[in-house]
Amino acid sequence: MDVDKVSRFLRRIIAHHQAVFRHIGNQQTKILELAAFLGAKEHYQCSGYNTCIMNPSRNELVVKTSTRGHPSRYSYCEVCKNGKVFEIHMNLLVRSAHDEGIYCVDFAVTKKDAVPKEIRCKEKWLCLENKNLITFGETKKLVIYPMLLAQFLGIVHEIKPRFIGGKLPRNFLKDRHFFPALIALGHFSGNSEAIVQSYRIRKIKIAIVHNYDTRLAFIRGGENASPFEPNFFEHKFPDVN
Amino acid sequence: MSISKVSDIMEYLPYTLRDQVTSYVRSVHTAMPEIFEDAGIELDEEISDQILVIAALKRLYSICSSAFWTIENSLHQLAVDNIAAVRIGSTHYARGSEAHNNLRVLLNEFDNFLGQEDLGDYIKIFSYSEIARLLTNGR
Repeated sequence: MDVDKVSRFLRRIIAHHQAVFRHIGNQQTKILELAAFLGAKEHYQCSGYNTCIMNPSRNELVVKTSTRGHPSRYSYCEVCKNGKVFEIHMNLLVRSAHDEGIYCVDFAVTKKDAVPKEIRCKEKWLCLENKNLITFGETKKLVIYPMLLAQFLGIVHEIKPRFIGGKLPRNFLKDRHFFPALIALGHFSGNSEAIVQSYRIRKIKIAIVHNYDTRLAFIRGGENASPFEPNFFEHKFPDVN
Repeated sequence: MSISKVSDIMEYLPYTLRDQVTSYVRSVHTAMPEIFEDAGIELDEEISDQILVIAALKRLYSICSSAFWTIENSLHQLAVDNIAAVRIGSTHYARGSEAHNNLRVLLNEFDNFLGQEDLGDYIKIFSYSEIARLLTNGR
């Protein structure tokens, strides 16, 4: 292998496509959040739900990329099965399970109509009340390392503590919801996989979704499985951690 | 090749991407003794240099590939719902849009180079020990 040739190529491609790399740098996190939102939709589809994306205007999906902006201005997904309807929203402000704190989760599954569909002038919408939050997910464009797991556990403790050693909400499994999920582009590093394997014994019910872009590639290739399935790679790629 | 030389190559990348690539290369550099030990070959400076450059190439390629394919897969999923486009902030992604095309052109340039230089396998292989063995055998 010619090290100098590869080095020259890298310099050239970076110089030639500076604007595109700048764009990728700005958009990376937002693109991942979009993919996670669509992954949640895919999860419910695989679970037998009818799904429908609701857009504020025209034929385009409008992605909410931050805490700012009223949710009615952005797209969301409605999922329904056997008369039960839930919604999936992006970058949603939610109330803490313990106090008046408000957190923004990358995507949230909520009860129907718990998030306003229009702006009401007389009242400012602050956040989703905790009782109306079914489950949620966070995305990271990182490998999964032990402190990341600990941080996510802390988030779950603040927002939905019953998934840490507590009793699941009624009908949660029957309705095929996913556990609070950490979506990561990377693989397990260090001893993080061993930590995740211990969650079952510790009765910690969270989903650690690693190698997320690879999962999407399989689904695009026709794989009919939830991208949030913990054993997604088991039969396809046994050596992928 | 030292880490500083890799940083030098990445000089004109935006900070967030430069940091991702150089951090990754640094972690591979740190693991180099274990990589050679697992490969069952003696630590070799020339092969180490090649591994570091491959690490930089792999990481930058995966960043670009991930961005393109995540958008592409999202558009594919949305087409089922008859939704043809995605708006993220002021950026509009649709098949044929400028943002989408720019990502595709960038990725094509990577793929062409990898094909011409027969480097595709190094991108696909997860294990750096295996890469070390391949590089040693290819001498």
